[in-house]
Amino acid sequence: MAAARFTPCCVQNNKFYVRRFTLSPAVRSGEYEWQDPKSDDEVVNITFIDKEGKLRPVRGKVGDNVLYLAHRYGIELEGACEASLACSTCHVYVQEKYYDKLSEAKEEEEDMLDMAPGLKPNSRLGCQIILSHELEGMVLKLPTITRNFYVDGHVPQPH
Amino acid sequence: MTSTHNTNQRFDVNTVVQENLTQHFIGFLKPNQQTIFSVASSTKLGNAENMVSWFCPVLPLQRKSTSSALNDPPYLKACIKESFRRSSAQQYIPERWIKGDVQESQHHPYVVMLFGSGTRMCIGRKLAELEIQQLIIKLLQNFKVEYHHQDMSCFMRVTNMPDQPLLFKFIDYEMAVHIFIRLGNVMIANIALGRLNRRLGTSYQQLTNHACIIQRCKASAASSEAVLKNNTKSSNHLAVEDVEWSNAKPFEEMPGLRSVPMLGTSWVMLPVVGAGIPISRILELHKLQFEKHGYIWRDIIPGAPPIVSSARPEDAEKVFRTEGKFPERPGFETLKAYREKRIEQFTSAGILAGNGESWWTVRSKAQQPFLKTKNVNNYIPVLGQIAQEFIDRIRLIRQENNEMKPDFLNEMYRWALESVGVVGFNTRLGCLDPNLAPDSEAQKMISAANLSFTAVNELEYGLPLWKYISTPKLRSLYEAQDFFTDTALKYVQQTLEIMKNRPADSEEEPSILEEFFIRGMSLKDATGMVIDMLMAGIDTTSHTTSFLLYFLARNPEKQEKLRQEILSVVGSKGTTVITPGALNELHYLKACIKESLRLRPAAVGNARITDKELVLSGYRVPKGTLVVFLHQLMALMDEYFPNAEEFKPERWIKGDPEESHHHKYVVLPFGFGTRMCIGRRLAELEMWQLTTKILQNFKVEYHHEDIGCLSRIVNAPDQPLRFRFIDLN
Repeated sequence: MAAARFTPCCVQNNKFYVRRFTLSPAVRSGEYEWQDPKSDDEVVNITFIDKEGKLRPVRGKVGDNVLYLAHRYGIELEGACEASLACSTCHVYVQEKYYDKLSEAKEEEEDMLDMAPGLKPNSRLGCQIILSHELEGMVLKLPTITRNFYVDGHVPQPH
Repeated sequence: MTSTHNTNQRFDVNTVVQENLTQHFIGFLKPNQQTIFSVASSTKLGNAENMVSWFCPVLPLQRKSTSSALNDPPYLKACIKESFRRSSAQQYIPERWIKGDVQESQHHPYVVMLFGSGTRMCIGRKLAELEIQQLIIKLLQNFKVEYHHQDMSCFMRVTNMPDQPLLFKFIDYEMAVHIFIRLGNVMIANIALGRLNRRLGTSYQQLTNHACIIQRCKASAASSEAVLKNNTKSSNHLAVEDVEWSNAKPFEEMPGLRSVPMLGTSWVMLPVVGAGIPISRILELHKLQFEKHGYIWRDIIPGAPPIVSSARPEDAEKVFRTEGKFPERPGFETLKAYREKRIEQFTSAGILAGNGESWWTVRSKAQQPFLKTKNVNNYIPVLGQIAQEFIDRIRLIRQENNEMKPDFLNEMYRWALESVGVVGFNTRLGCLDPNLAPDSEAQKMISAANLSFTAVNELEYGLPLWKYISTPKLRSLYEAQDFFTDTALKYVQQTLEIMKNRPADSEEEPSILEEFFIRGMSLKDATGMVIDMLMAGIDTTSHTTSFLLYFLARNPEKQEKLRQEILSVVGSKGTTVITPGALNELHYLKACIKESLRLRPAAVGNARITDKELVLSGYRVPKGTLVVFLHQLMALMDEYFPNAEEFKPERWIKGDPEESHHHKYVVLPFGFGTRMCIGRRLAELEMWQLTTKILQNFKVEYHHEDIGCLSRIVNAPDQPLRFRFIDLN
């Protein structure tokens, strides 16, 4: 997937453009996060602080998406739109010293964060955080509210 | 309680008094705000006796103090509105005055000058403040204060005074505790119980927890309730809602027009007896209704669920945040009917018209391919090429004075169809070809699209005769849809074929259509999806882009500012392909689009059918109600955007002095959540590309009547788009 090349040979006048297609494995969202780290070199340890304030250490790896990693370890990060930047249900607070190490939020992400309750300067969307070695030891805090007030004590399930 | 020490600590009372004095009328009495206040203050003061004294709801009482102490020139109201835009100036939020609070207000200090300043400052200030504080403390120690009558505002005299009789209820404190326990209000009962517990030696941990949580959360009513509900994991869950629900006014009391047999409230549309505003001018009707009823009203159409229209962003926020896994959206009955009739070709109504589980089946497979920047960015080169062809076409078809012919909107449709076609059909249709044959597929496609829009608009907005008999309009819609279906199926199958035959070592990224299949979408669903792209991706994008061009033409200095950004980030017209990096840097362009969408969004609002009982603007709204959020109306209110009618892209630039701090649910042109416009990123990319190209090549002018909105299913320009495209030197 790395070499992203898209060359639509746009032939005019109703001719279909001829393209070569790949059979490269299309990794479905979240599947990568279910793979265990192949070696210790890959490991990135992070900690979630859940809604009750409990520490939840998680052993992730380089390239993991925080949202799907949270799903794997049963942490209540909802992610209703499945990382397609249409909601703010995977809102997290990033520990200050790691916040600057993350790549800057794009406008699309900022727009969604604007809609999140409890917005803070260190707010990010979990689905936009990809683990790297630099993030070893990062602590992510889940906001007390994301979007839904589940009246019946229902715990949000990842879609 | 009244020792000096305590008086010094009484910052909460001070902030409350301060907040009060800024408001000469208080229109909102929200129980949860009282709760927040009582909890927050109780922890700050940290001992049970004090806590109890803060426990009483303070709002109504403060109305009284407001009236006695306020010296509020009329201009102040305007100033306050201006400076407190972030979360609606009229809301009562004492947190604005707490240093370090998330909601601390950053207004200009001279906006609120309660006692004046300098040598002519109110000489009795300290005394007055002390009086108010003492009285509030005593009252709250003894009573729970309530007020159940009309909103109070000001009579202007030498000093403002309340325009309503002060019919407060002072309920003895101990009794109030019992009432709250009985109502099961978790928060308040907890505080009361805390007092009892202390006697029994129990800690206040629970309370502190609540208070911390609340301090963290933002202003909106929805969030506060969410906090309460999310943090009470006991059997008391339902209690909070019950209190809100039981405090709310019944649905029947919601303002609305008189309902008559057969017509419900739709008679308002009729001439003579009603306002006589046609449905194509629905915004005008909304304005009238707003003036008559206020922020929320209901309509009744016999045989349909009740309709609630709200112009409060807080209501939108609440509904969007409470929506379940399958948010339900009304509309597109004709498309549903068509697909039911052609059931052998479709499995469900699809992503546009469908609801519930069958909607999610499609959405879940389509949302990532469609919305992920990475996938959409693959289309940058081809969309850029289409935009370039459109520029060439403008040069070809413009008249001698550089002006476009009145049917320029059709040209915009061609551009949008070509752009959406390259994604949906995985091919170039050739709609911008200068020598398009009348029997070509592209031409037929253009006609079928136009026919579908007209038919859907007329059928969905008129009397639903088509549900009972096969009207000519319905037949023509079905014919157009049949053509779409056949064509879509052809290209979808072709894509499948190509996928099968592609070599294993190809490094090319799959297209969006291929991504659907990779994620396991069925052939039928994919066909439906492609048709939905045509139905939702042509008029919307072309209308909104047209509006943007109109605003740029009408605001030449903004146009020039945008052109400078484009020239410096992207380069001059020779640039072939815009890089994703460059697109990220086009902040002013994005601001222009947001501003244009604020003034002329693709639709008048968002709508949902609620799946639970909710309290909106203080009224009980039953489950199954059609709730419409009138974003276009809200966005035109000066209360959210000063000089709202003005096109000012700077409102959307972070850090700009003119940056707007409106409630974020006022402007939602693409919706929010899992039903957010799935074509959003694609539409944005199309708009960025076309606008960039146009401004690189032309100076855009418009010298005719103002262009407003014709409301159909999507807003359309109500004037011919006679733009002038003048070549830049």
